[in-house]
Formats: sequence, structure tokens, C-alpha cells
Amino acid sequence: MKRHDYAILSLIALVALFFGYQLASSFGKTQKNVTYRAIENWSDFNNNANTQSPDDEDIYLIARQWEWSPVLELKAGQSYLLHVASEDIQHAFHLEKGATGQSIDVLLQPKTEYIIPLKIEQEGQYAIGCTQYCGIEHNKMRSRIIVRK
Amino acid sequence: MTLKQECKAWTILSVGALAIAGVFALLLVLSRTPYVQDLLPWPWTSFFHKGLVVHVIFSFVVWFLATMGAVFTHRLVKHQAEQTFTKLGPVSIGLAVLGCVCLMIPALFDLGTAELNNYVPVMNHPIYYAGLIFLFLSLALVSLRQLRLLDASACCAFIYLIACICFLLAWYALPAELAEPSFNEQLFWGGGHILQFVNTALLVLVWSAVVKKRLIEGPYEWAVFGILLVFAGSGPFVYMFSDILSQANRDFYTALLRYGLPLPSVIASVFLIRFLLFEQNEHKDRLMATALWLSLLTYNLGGLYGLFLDGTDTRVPAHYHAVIGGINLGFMIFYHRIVLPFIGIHPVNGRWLTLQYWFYGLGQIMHASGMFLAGLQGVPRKTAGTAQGLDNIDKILSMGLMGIGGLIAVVGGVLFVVMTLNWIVKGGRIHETA
Ligand SMILES: [Cu+2]
Repeated sequence: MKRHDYAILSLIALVALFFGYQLASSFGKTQKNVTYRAIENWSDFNNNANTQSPDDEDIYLIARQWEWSPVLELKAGQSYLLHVASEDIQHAFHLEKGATGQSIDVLLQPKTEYIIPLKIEQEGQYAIGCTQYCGIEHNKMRSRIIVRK
Repeated sequence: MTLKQECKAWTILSVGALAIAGVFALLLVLSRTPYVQDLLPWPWTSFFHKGLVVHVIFSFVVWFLATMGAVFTHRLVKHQAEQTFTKLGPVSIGLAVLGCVCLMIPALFDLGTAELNNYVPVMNHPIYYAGLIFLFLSLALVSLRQLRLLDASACCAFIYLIACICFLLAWYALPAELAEPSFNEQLFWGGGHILQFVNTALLVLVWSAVVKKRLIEGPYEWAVFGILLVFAGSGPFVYMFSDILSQANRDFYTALLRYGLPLPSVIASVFLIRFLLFEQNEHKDRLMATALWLSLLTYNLGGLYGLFLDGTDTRVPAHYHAVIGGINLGFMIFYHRIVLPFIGIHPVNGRWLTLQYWFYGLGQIMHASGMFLAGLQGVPRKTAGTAQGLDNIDKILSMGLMGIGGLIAVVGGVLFVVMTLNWIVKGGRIHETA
């Protein structure tokens, strides 16, 4: 080995350590501003989802095999609390990066309500989808959030 | 059985797996063709997903694992030429073949339901699970044998065993009453991610084997395989520190690929580029250089696409199609330049062999890039000033690129299977006694 080999190998070791540190420190830290609680009365949640308006602070979204309901219509620049819950089995709620500058990805246990602070500045349509395999039509489980002025 | 014969058996199994995958792909198309679908002996409506499961398991899992068998046995012979007899050979080959038969039965006899979960798609039927156990066990035995070499291939074998441990831990941890889709997804989630470390290790091993001289100098080779091993080694521990159904468990494995794979891939790629650019021509021929360039390019393009993933759009399949395509190109040239001559078969160099690599490589690049561009566009944004039509034309172009690229890649893949199987069949037996 020549001297520059030692330098390069040390550099490789440093980068590997840095990646290892990043990996370890990311453990369990994803989506830290999301809270959750068990749903005791599903029909209440269902009701909330069916009667909401873009002016409410609390908005509701239901995941089930293999759809999102309802299609959310929000106002640009308004702060919301998004309540997402799965009616049947495990799903995961994903909102594309373009909406808030950071992609949101929350694993949904059945009959548990996840509360996600949400504020989208730019009007447009933003893709949401399921990122946890949930059955044969899992890939079709996509929808969008419509944001208006 | 001698090690050379075992190596030939793995070769037949891996290329044969691609042939089976191809036949099922054809059946899939037929099952969606009006009138023809009525001639199939199965109810075609339920066959579609089952056929897809068989196609994926053979073209991805069986092809990769059997190639691992070929890589390992070839390496064993190189290291210990004096002892070529293998007692384990017939056992592991037998188990793998039995496994493959079991993997096909549920689709052919319309048993159970199909599950297209990540990494290892499943048929919810005991025969299919038995098939998976036979297959994974077969390669676990081969990997255990490989460990005593204490070299890069032993490292790869160890990572494979770590993946198997993850499967077992997941199986143990999963509540039995969990819904089938969630059960299958979580069963293969952790180990499936570790298998991607195996695939990367295999790619570096075949690159090194193909160039016939030391591709990566000693300490750098240890860096590549050591990093792969250390990151993969963290896999089983996550089951102790987090619930298998938790977001922490799920997200850790995604992060594991993001932080664990780039550095070893980059180091190996740099050495391969150095070889391709500066090495004397006595160490390489034109076809080998073409195949290695295409493998390098496709694999790294896939890695690059991997940096831009976001959720559910077609950037995800774009990433893994290109990565897998790059690995497959490495495997192909490994068979043509190393394994076939090793088992006494000499591929005919010619236009079709060269074309096969160009078709498969460029086809995969186009296919993946089309998907990536389509994914980037996402849901059409309604912003003032942008005409809707233009947005659609971009989309049509990228979907077209994806479709045409896919077709060209399929032609390349079919050429590989047909030519290689033809050579093996014509090649005759290996007359070697231990
Ligand atoms: Cu889902």
C-alpha cells in the first residue's frame, strides 16, 4: 500500500462512519410531529370524514383497500390538522414532497387515528398514495389533495 | 457430484428459471387476450396475478439465488482445486429444484390467492411456502459451506445468512392473526432489504470474476465487503429494538439501503471504470468491455434514480428496474465469459451475442428512464401559463420511451435465455470424476 492508499481508505472509513451515524440517528425519528390514538368509535370518525368542509381546522381521511376517501379539498396557506385512519388493515399515508417541501409518510395501524399538522402554501393538486403493501390492488391506492386559493 | 457439475446444475437452474419466467409472462399475455384466454386450462381471471407471482419469483429471486450458487461453486473450485467432490451439491441442488416445483404448483392448479408484496411475492398456500423454505434452505447450506473460504464470497454468503435470520425473526415475531397482505409484506420486508446487500455483493463478485485479474485491490475489497457486511449485520438487531409492525422497524430498512449501499457501489464502480479505461487489452475483449460498461452504466443510473424517490409514483420501479438490469448484465457476461467455458461450453461470439447485450442494456435504460420521467411529472399540476396539452405530450413521450425500452429489453432477455440454454444443451455432459 502506498501513502495515498492510506489517505483514501481513511476517507472511506470516515464516510462509512458518517453514514452509519446518520442511519442510527434516524432510527425511530421519522415523522416525529405526528400523534396518534386508538379510535373507539369508528362511526364518529366516518361521520366526520363525510361532513367536513375546507373551512374546518380538522380534516379527515379514510384509508381502506384500495382507496382514499373522500378526495380532500383544502385552502392554500391555511393550517390544518389532518386525521388519517385505516378502516381495515395496515396502510401507509404518503403525501408527495411538492406539497410541504418534505414528503410525509405515516404507517397506519388499523383503527388508529393519526393526526398530522398540514399547511400547503401553493394551490394545485398533490399526489397521495399508499406506501405499505396492502393487497393485490395496492398499486391502485392513489388519490390527490386539491388545494385552492 | 463434482463441484464443476454442481456449478453446471446452478447454471441450468438459473437460466432455466428465466425461461420459466418467460413462459409465464407469455401465459400472462395470453390470459389477457380475448378468445385465446378461453383455451387456457385455468380460470384466466384468477391466473393473472398468480402467473405474475411466478414470473417475478423466477425472474428475480430464483435467478439471483441460483446465480449465487454458480458464483460460489466456481469460486470454491478456484480456491481448492485438489478437492472437487461435493456431498452437499446433490442435496442443495435437489432442494432447490424441489423448491422451484413447489413454487409453480399453486399457480398451475389454481390454489390459494396471489400476493404481490415486496421482494418475495407469495401465493397464500402451504405448498408455495414449502417451496420458499426449500429454496432458501438450499442456498443457506451452500452459503454455510462458502464461509470457510474467508474471502469476499464468504462475506456475501454471510450476508445471505443474515437475510435468512431476518426472515426467521420476522416469522417468529409476526402475530398469526394478522391480515395476509400485511403478514407477507412484513415477513419479507427486513430480509428482503438484506438480500439487496447480497445482490450488490454478487455484482461486485461477478465483475471481479469476469475481469480475471484482481479488479479491486486487497484493502479496498475488504472495505467494499466489510461495509456491506456491517450495515447488513444491523438488520437482525432491529427486531429486538422495535416492534415488527412499527414505523421505526419499517423505515429503518429503507434507510439501511440508502446509507449502506452507495459507498460500496461507488468504490467498486470506480475500480471497474479504472479497469475499463486503462487496462491493457490482453485482459479484456470487446464483448466483455461492452457488457461491463452497460452493466456499470445501468446499475449506477438506477442508483442515481434512487436518490430521487418519493413515495408511490413510477420513480420507484424506475430505480429498481435499472439497478436489477445492471446486475443482470453483470450476471450475463459472468455466465458467457466465465461459467460456460468453466463447464466446458464455448459460447459462439457473433453479432447476436453482442446485440443481446445492447438490446438488454439500452432497453433497460430506456425503460427505466421513461418510468422515471413519467414519475417526475406526477399528477398534472394546474398552474397558470402551462398549457395542459404540453403536459400530456411529455407524459405520452415518457410512457412511450418506457414501453419501447421495455420491449427492446425483453428481446435482449429472450436472446440471452435462448442462446445460453441452446449452448448448454449442445454442450454435453461433464466427464469428471472426483
Ligand atoms: Cu394500502
